[in-house]
Amino acid sequence: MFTHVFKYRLKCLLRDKVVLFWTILFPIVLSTLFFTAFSNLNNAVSFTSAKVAVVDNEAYRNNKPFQEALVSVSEKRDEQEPLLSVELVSSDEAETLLEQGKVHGIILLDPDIKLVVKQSGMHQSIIKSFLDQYRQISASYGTVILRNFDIPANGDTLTRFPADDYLTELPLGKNKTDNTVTYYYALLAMASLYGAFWGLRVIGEVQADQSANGARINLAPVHKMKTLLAGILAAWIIQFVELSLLLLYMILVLKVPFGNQAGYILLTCLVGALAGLTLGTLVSGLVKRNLGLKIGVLIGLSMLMSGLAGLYFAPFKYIVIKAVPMLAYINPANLITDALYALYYYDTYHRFALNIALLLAFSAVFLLLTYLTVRRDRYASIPSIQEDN
Amino acid sequence: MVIKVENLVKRYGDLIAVDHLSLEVQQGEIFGLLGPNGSGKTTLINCILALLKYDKGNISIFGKPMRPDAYDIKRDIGVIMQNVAVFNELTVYENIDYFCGLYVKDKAERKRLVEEAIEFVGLNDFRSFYPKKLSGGLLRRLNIACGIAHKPKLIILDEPTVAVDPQSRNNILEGIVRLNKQGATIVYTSHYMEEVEQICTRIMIIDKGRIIATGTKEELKSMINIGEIVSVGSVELNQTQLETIRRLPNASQVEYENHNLTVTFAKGRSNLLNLMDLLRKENVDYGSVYSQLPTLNDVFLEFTGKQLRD
Repeated sequence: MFTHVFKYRLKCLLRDKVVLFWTILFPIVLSTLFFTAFSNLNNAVSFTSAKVAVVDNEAYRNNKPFQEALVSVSEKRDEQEPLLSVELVSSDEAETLLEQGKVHGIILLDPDIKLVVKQSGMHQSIIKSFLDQYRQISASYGTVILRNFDIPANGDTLTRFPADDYLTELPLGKNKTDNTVTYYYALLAMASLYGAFWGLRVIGEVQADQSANGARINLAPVHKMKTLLAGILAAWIIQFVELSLLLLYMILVLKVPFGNQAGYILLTCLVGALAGLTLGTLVSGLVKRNLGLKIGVLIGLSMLMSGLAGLYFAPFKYIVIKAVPMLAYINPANLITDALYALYYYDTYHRFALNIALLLAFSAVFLLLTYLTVRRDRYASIPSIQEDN
Repeated sequence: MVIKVENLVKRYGDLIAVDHLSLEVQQGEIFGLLGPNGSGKTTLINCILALLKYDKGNISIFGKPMRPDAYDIKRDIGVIMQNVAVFNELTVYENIDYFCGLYVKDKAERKRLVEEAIEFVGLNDFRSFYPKKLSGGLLRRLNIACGIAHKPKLIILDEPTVAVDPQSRNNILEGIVRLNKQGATIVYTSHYMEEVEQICTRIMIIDKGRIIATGTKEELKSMINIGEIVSVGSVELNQTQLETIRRLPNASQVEYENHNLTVTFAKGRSNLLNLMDLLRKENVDYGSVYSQLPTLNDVFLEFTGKQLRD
């Protein structure tokens, strides 16, 4: 009997084009839009070196520390663009290059260091910052020497220009930091919560006061819970497969980094699917009759939870964690994103396990509450089959 | 006895939907529940089927108390609800197979029963159709097939012909009679008195949750004091002639409007002949004349003071 009901529940759900659209096609479309938006964003902010013409005169040739400081910021390091791209030219050539817009500024040592620019902008600011910093360090060393500190007074010291003393971003764990992944994780969480629409349907079809089909099923010699469990199992499998497909699309087509722990990622999808599904069964069990209201509540909840998990603005996730940590722990969407985040960035599984355990606990609570709301055998009224009489 | 309801009371707040109602349905009969919309028919059926909570009373089916978990009883009941209850994502065949499978475990037997049900309702050419592709009448037939495929001993049909074309309606009514002849006991609710008169062997008329009358259609009609209603069309009458008609034996009510005369006679012999003789004596010409025996609507009208379709 269970197999019979399960088979037909699976068929019904798989042929429900509306719910299929929202649970698989919509997240795929949204992830593609994210991909397009992030690609443009990355291109827009990609860094290029500031081009600078340095006048090759007597003062320059005599200022060895400055020459070496220039070299230190114009060398390519770790595949990253250098701060400055330097051309050593005569005074006239420098002016011509600036006029033609081929350089952003001219550095002239006369003997003080001067910067000539034609307009203001990011590159001009970079050159100015470099020169300001050089002047500041030169002055500091001058003071040290005047006060007879035990530091060699040769110019070599200045060659250690702090280009490599800037803050360097280091990954906490095994993978490099990528801020955009939070959006994709939140999207996967949203897709998980959209499994609630399956839950809504599953409940509607076993409750006599919610649908005519529910009434007919209640009249059959089958325990309602058996029918309900068959429906939940079918919906869970479909939702898990959908999430896996979405995950594959993100990894293989959009090249979103998810790490290399496929088993744990799939486990997150499996548990996330259950959390979303059971959230739907609970809302469907609690909100009586009005299908529109149920859908509205579910969309609102999933949007709110996904939003708090960083779907619309990634830093929001961290703001919530910092300001209202409890909210982060009771938000299934956040738990899903956090589980994926922990898998990607951390070497240990403590945080991942905590998230999965909390998701399972919430699913169990949702399921228990669903059972309590739908377990009754007789109804007070049955509007679904009692319109006129 | 198939169904026994004793002193049933069902309230929705202050409204009494079923008011101390008792009934018995015997094996092999087609029991009609007739009443206007809102009279409590569906509520009564849902209480009998243990879908609805009720405030008072006892209900037993096949001699056993009916409860939501009385699966042995449910196995022998088929229900056709007023609203079509099928899955839009399943074909005609799959829908019948699914619902039949809730009653019959054996696959081979189920296959045979599903085929028989499809044949019975005449949906052979539509077995791979999805419900949305079916007309209203065909959809009702599918609804019936889903309810009867498992060959129940008791079939309850709640307004199965609502919004159905005349051809499909006849098809459905004939089918119900055939099911009864095959051995099923039928409970049929409707607010269409013609249908109930046509197929039911015993009828209960209810209004506002109370029993108005119970019996065969002949017994019900015998409860009222109407013998026949004679209508004469295209007739020209003066006031004196109308007075003479009113004085005819058994004439209880005379209406004359737009050249149409309607005379209601109490039970008695030769009512029609007496009227015809009078019109001939008065040299009154008329276009048409027909006599109508009392209907269930007349029964309802006499007991409640209102029409069944009010």
